[in-house]
Amino acid sequence: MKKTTTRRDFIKKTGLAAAGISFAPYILPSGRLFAPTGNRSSEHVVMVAFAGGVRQQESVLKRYLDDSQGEPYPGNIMYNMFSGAAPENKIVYGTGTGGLNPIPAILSNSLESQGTVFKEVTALSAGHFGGLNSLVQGSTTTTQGLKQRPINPTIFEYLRRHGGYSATDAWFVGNGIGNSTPLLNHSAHPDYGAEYAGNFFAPTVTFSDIGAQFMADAKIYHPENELAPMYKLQTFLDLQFQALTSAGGSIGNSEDEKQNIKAFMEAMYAKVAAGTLDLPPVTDNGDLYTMAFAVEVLKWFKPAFMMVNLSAVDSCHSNFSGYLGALHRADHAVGHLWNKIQTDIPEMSGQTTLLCTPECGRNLQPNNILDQNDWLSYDHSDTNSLRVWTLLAGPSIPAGLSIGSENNPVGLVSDTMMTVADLLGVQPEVQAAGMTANGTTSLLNQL
Amino acid sequence: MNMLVSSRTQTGYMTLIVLLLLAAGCRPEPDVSFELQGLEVTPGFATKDRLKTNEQWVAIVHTNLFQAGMPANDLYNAARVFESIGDQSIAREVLLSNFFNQPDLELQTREEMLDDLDAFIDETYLRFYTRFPTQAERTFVREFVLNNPGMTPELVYMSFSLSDEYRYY
Repeated sequence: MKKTTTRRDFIKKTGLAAAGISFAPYILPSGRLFAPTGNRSSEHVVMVAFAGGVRQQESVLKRYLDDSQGEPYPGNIMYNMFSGAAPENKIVYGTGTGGLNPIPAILSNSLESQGTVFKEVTALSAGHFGGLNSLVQGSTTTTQGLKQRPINPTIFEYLRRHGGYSATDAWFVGNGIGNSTPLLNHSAHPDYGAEYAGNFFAPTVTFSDIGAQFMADAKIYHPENELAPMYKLQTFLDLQFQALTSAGGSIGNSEDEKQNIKAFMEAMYAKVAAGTLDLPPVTDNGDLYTMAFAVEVLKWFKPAFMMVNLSAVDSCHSNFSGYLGALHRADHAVGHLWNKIQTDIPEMSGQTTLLCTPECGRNLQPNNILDQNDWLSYDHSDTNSLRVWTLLAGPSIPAGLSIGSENNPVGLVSDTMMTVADLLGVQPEVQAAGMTANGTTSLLNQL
Repeated sequence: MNMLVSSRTQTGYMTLIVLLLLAAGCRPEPDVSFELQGLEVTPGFATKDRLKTNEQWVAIVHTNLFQAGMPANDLYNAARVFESIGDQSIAREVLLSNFFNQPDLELQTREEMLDDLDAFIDETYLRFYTRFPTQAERTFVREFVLNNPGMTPELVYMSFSLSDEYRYY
């Protein structure tokens, strides 16, 4: 018997369908239910954790030996980042024997002249790990220990969960695998965690000789005839196991992203072997190699966000001359980074915001360790270690602006993370989560 | 006197009795099977709840594939390289494909695998999971291998090595 639809039935069903459509959440392609509520003002953001405990005196204050060794020789040894004349005497930070030859500037105009510098920012921790945690979490917690995932969500997780960014849109390029650095790409927070992690490489290990020994000779499988059935069988095996266990917890790279990362690795091993890696003009320490690979990550993936961690200046614990050289090279690395973004990566040129913040400062008073030049070394534990700076440059950042001074601190280290969230459109969600340090706000609100 | 038995005779009787008892006590136990088939007991996957470290995973997969342990220094370095890669599933896959590219790794051909597929499946489950497959698993894997001409022992081993169960013990 044929069922007829009455006018009343039709109106009822149509009304229910319309109500369902109105109230059902929108499922975005990323799998998220709702679009982020913030406004994205930058297509790409690169954050540099700079660079292992930096004193204000030798960096943003440009005092060279004048405020550390009792020798009256001021000057700017970071001339890619800051404006100002280089020291004229007692040059030890360059290349060659005794470091007599300063590395030429890469950028014709300093980043300070192109952007904004917060000259006196307050760090949340006098230590590296606490400082790095404050940069990735926007907070630092007293219960956060080494060999432990961050307790609160990281910027990678906020971006991926609330902004819908893919795994290869969020990268952390680490300076190595020490000091729990590989653990900083995601937290152990139950609402976030591995599935929202950023991708991570410590390229000086991954693409080193030992990395090549285990990873460079990978067999290439046919994606459809070989890999597809292999993954299918693996899925069956996993389903059998997951019926009784809760295995899982890997980064949420899609299969396409995994193949892309494997292709990137293969290309990097080939470049290293062929000597065609895009290196900075001077590449004589780990930070410079790390930055070279960070640039390669940018070229390949063009991610929305990348954090790169430099750390060689930590030699200051026992070698002040080495510290000056490392500081000079960290500046060279940032100059290389910015130059490559503007000249070699058209998809990012003019659309990228750069933020550089030291994770912590360094002491006012030296320890007793003398280096080859009889200069005293510096640890990081006192209030001077909580004095840092933040440099911003990019299309929406005012040029030539300076905010704060030695007697007028403005901003927190955790503001850097909130600024990234602001630039990439997830600041309201990060604030609503309520897990950042008190007073943390976007630096864009303080311009 | 006739009633008196010499001590030598007594000793002889005692020895005879002991020998008879020993002979009776040493008889082999009869093989009683009650018509049941023997069953080898292996642990099931329900007991695997501890995640292997990277070092353990590399050491075990090397042993499972090459039937030989990895030198300690190599093991240490491999674990370091694993730490330097955020997505561990990618690290595992790339390492395995490097292993499969090594000339000293001897694997069966697909034809050899198909000669006795059930035995191959049992052997693979034992090698990687230290257990036998359930009947449902054996049936699925058998049909899957038969219906996918590209599935070689190498790819089967890769599936098992990359699986979640293999990450636990």
